[in-house]
Amino acid sequence: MEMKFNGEFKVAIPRQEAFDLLSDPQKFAPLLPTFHSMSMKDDKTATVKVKVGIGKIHGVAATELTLEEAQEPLRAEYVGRGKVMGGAYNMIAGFDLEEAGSDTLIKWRGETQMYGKILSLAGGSMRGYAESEINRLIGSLQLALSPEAEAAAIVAARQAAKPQGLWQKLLALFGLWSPPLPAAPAREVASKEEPAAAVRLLAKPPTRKVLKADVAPAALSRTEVGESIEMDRHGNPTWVGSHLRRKEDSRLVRGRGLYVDDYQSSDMLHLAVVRSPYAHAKILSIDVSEAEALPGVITTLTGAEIASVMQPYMQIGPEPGANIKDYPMAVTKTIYQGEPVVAVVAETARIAADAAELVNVDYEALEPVTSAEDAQHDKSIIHPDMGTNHNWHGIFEYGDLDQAFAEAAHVVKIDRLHFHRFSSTPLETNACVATWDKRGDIDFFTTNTFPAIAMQMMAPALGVSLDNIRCRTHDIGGSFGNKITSYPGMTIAALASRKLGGRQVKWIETRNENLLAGGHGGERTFLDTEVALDADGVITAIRSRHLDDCGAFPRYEPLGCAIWSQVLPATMKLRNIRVDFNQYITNKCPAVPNRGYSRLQHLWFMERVLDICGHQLGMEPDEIRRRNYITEFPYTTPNGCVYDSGDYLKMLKTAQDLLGWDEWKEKQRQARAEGRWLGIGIGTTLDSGSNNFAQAQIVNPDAPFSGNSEVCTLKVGLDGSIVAALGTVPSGQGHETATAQVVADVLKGVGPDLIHVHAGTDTARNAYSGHSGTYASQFAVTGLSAVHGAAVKLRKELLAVGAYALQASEDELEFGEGEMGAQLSVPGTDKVIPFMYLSNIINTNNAGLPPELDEVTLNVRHVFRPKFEVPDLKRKYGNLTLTYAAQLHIAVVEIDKYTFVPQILDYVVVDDCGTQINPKIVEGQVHGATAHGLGAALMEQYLYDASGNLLTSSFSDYTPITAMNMPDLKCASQESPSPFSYNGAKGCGEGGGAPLHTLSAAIQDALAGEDVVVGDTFGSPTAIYDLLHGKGRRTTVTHESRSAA
Amino acid sequence: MYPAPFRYHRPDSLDAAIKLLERLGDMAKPIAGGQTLVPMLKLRMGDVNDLIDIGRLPGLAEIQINDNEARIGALATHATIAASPLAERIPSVRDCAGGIADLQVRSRGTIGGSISTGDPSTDWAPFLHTLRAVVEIQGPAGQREVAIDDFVSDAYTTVLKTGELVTAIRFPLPPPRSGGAYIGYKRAAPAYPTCAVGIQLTLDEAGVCSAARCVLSAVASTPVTSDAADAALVGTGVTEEDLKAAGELIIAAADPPEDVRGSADYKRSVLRGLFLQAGTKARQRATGETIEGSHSYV
Amino acid sequence: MSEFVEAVDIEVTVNGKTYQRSVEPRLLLVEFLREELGLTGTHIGCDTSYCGACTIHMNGAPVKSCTLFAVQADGQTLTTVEGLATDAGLHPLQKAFSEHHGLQCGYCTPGMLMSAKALLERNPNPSDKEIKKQIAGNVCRCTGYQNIIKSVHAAAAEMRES
Repeated sequence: MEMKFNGEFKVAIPRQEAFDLLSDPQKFAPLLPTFHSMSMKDDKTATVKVKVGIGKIHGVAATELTLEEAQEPLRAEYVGRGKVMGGAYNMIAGFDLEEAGSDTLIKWRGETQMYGKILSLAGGSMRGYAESEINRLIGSLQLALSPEAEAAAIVAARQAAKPQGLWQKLLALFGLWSPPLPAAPAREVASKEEPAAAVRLLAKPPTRKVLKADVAPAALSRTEVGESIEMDRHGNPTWVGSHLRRKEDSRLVRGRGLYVDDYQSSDMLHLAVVRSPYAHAKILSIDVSEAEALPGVITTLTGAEIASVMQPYMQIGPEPGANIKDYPMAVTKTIYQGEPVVAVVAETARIAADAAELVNVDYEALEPVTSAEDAQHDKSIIHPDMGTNHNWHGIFEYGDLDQAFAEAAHVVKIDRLHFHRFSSTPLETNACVATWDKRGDIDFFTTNTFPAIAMQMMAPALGVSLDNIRCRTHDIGGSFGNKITSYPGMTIAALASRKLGGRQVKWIETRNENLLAGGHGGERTFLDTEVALDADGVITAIRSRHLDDCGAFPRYEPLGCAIWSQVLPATMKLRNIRVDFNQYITNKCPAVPNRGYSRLQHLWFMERVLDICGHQLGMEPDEIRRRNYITEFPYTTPNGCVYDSGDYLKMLKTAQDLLGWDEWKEKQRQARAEGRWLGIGIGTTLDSGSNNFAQAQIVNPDAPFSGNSEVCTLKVGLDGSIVAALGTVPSGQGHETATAQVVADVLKGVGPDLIHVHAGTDTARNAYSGHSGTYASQFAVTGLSAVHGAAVKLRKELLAVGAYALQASEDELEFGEGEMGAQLSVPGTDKVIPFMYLSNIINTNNAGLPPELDEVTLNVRHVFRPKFEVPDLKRKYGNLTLTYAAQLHIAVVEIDKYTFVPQILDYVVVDDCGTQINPKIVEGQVHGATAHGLGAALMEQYLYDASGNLLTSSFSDYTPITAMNMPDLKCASQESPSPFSYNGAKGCGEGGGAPLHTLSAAIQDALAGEDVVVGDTFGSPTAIYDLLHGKGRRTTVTHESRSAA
Repeated sequence: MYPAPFRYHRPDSLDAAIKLLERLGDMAKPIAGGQTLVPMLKLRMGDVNDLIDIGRLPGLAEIQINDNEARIGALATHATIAASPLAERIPSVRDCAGGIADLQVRSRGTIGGSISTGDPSTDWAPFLHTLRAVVEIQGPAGQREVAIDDFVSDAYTTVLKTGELVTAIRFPLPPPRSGGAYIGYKRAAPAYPTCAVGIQLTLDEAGVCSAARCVLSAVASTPVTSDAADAALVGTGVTEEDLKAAGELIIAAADPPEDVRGSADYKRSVLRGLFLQAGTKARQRATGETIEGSHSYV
Repeated sequence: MSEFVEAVDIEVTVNGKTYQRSVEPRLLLVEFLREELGLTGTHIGCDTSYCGACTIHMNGAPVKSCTLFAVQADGQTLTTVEGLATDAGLHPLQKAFSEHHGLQCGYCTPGMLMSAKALLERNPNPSDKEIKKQIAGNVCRCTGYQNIIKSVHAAAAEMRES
């Protein structure tokens, strides 16, 4: 945040006298109203301590104040920088002195840039308070410069006033224009008060008790598992497709989940991270001595130390981005606010936090780049090794654009559209417990939801084999893609553990850290869009230039440069498309995958384009969709992707019926007649699942990724238990339940309560591949296909052992449940054998086993690999995804004319994700994705100021959507089975961001008479107000009609 | 997030608390419900050496209705006040108490703590302006009273001196044919309000306004009042037009900070809407109607 | 402040059991429950009293245990999510949340259950609006709240019947 102030006043003392005071730091600094003490660094630079405070809370802040310019007796200018609570600032304070008779006219000006969480205090309403403080200050300055003023009187007056305002810390800044006292200069000045507590610690912390748990560990007994899943299929012939209660719930509703922070042990150490308050700054020096001296602190780690013991992470993208030196901590400069600068490890999390406050880092601010549009100019280069901020460029061109535009009946041009920054902010933040033991093995208990990638990133950087790394998860408090890129934090924790000889190090991000640096969803700007339409309102061609803002490090993000093209034409049948796609580095939090990753930006763009065209042509939103929808499936898109199945027209009809479209249209007519802003908007979206990693090669032909895979191991344990382990990493999607359903259907007769599915993943279970994880809506297809394959293999083995044991043919055998659990029997006979005995034959009592059972282990592993080809990289042509779920939403909103709140009056959701494995879980995903979209459209935004400060770095400012903000959803679903998955299912977890399209459309419709174009995804009341009042960047649309025929 | 270390004291009487606060000075802070202070301490926005827990001091949580006067003990929680007979009798009290943050915060937060923070975004201090409340204060020099209008002197700043504590809030019961409303606008319950408006009216038998007191919250360093706006409503029927006219007078006195909740102009627009709503609701209540009021959200 | 900060002895009754511990004054109640008593069902989701994942009952009232110091709970009676189920089985709310898929990742669930419980204790038949207002200080990032509201209604119905 930058603030500038200026003014002038006259004092009745000669100019030289005023100058002498103003140009001598030793005389000048003690005049600050909040002065505490000072020392001189050299003759021009003073280190000044000032008292700061919020309300009744006081502290001391240090400022380094340098007399930068002194033109006797005309001008004095100070430059200062320092730390304030929760942030930092730079300032310039200048005085120009003019003679006015025997008096002196003092013209003053001040500029300050502020950084850090202090700005989000009270919502960042800094300026108003700053102004009132300055006014007060200048008043007292004038008073003090009057010759009659006695020093003592001023001191007394200050003490009586005892300013307690929040913005007293601003006095620390603006106090530099404080009144010169007519007193002799002092070399070392200190107030008489006790030095306030800059460092306050427990000399001897209370003895830490070894944890005595009052609850049993989270492991579930078999009865609890049995209790946890519903055993009633409600008439459904198979377990798949039944509305089953989830297995996971039993522990979670009891508070017996095991999230990373729940794991505790008495010898565990705790890591806290010191983060940069600057968006872009050079690190001048780091002093950890005070922090390390604190009792209970074990060690610290700086970026320089980390860089000396590891290699930079691999970069997915090609040059120039490939040249980035990507370390988990800033080494020589910081490039986003919240970037780790120093790590502190201590015996308790509280001591670590205390020590983090004692780390002194000296920065020199550099010019920040805060938008992709600014980044284009390369005025300030963020990664010197790259030499540019332009991380990636590619042209995606299909069809014949020139011809389509030549033949168009209408051409619509849209100069700029913008998709804002937000993320799903899972309620549990990034976290891990890392142990780098003396054997050289690294164990992570983590929240990372894509460990396969995390390990591939970390192993080469840390110089270990992938097999030295073990990642395990248990319960994860949501991810929505955001936790895929937590490996930098994991790396820091691991290096700390190694430095400490293998002790466990726990790293838990705070919410503030998570919002600052835990990963933001991608921001995109769409420039110079041109749309060709035929006379019927069918879009025939689109060309456009897209600027993607990936924040400070590309990390996973270059993939986003291709992933959007999975949905290139959205739901429309146009064949001519040209997108000039660019990705830029900025001084903002690195972007990460976020629910609907990279596709929802593009889908919003396409839907916005469609609605803007409809508006231009005077065509209703349902009608223009009917004319543009793809209607035949499988459908090959212009870039070679294959939409497996769907029926968008039917979804539209269902949604309109559910809403009562005609009734609402009538109500809208009435409302408009009354001058009310009531709008109806439709959003159609796609959720492409199980992607083809060969898209990485579109980004970088050398990328060693293609296809996809997922793993399940399934075994019959020594005790006859059926145990599944997955490579997927659930964070609330019910994988344990869905897996049990699939296995139970294969072992028909054995109920899902007897299928034990390990919670979370563990790479030590050997159930993972290079693609394992939970992302990109792929569990229902990729994950469950692996489960299904494993179940079929296990079934075959069980039948072979059963036939041998019961001396029967495999055809005669039937699975079922008996007193000893799962069993095989020959119906109509007394031949029966429980799984426990089958396992006994193979595993513990196997002498004399016949040769036909030599290969049987009752411990099978199945890897599912969807059939993908490597695309034609030159043309960027080929299939990038296996399944395409769809959603269609309709919203009715009314915008209040005073508050500009777009109140949602009605909201309809229709989804189609093919065959539903568990309708309860599908419904939950649909609801959740809708809430994320509505939250993003109305409330949630990562708002940066021009200095690169994140102004929404607490939940109180970011305001994740609450129950009070949610409309009641009217939901319906249809099933268009996918021909490409074994069971007709499609991935559906991401949802596709339909509320963003829908709300933009509805707000646009509501404001139809206002001559504004909704050009931004963020539709908060303030955004709508600004749109209507011409603030910020406007979107301009032109329409050229050539319908001569 | 972890607060820095501090010492903890729980004196068992008001006198002992005052003596302790006085002895320990400005680096000691009183804590009642802690709903403002604890988050501040967690953010380490400053240093505190000692916390004096006054949350359990006896006799300070009572809500009394006397003949002509209501008296709310400083330690009464928002939840208790919202459910009290006083709130039943004066619905705007429930608007305010029941609209603060969320249920959990209302269980702990106290009226005395709320006004003592001087936070420009809180509700009690501005709301109490509409009832012309008086703050009872006890300190080393004994008891004193300060009109609520004079109590908050600046953002996060009150007239409380070292060692002084708010012990109660008192206000006269509104005369017959009075009604009030307090409406805030915020994006979510636990978020800071964007702004809020409180209006208290008394009508004569003909339905003409005989007294009015209006206040705006969160749009300046301290609550905003306007004698001109109050005067403009007196003698009117409090119609939409009357409210619009009076609203402009008080909104002109506001100086809304531009922040993540909106620009100054935007906030003025919200104030206009809230002023109309609150005024209408106050008039309806003054005529005996039962109108539920509450904050509005996105 | 270089002086030694004394640990404070406190006695707290949690889920019917009384504990005596000596704690640092700055220890938050939620940390006390999680670290000292091992009751990790109460979670931390934010630092600014917004999300409600740490909601417990203190003397029957729902409070955010991240916005209280353990020393303030001295002598008080607390209930956490671990105290909801009895020997007789799950609390109707716990059953209803599972039955109606009122939870996904489970992180907000303990706090959500405790807020809902406070509502049903004083209002056995709440409306949608009353439920929403009750859980306004509890953030759920997974469910979109729809099934949470449904679950609270179902639990209310079951509790009314029994």
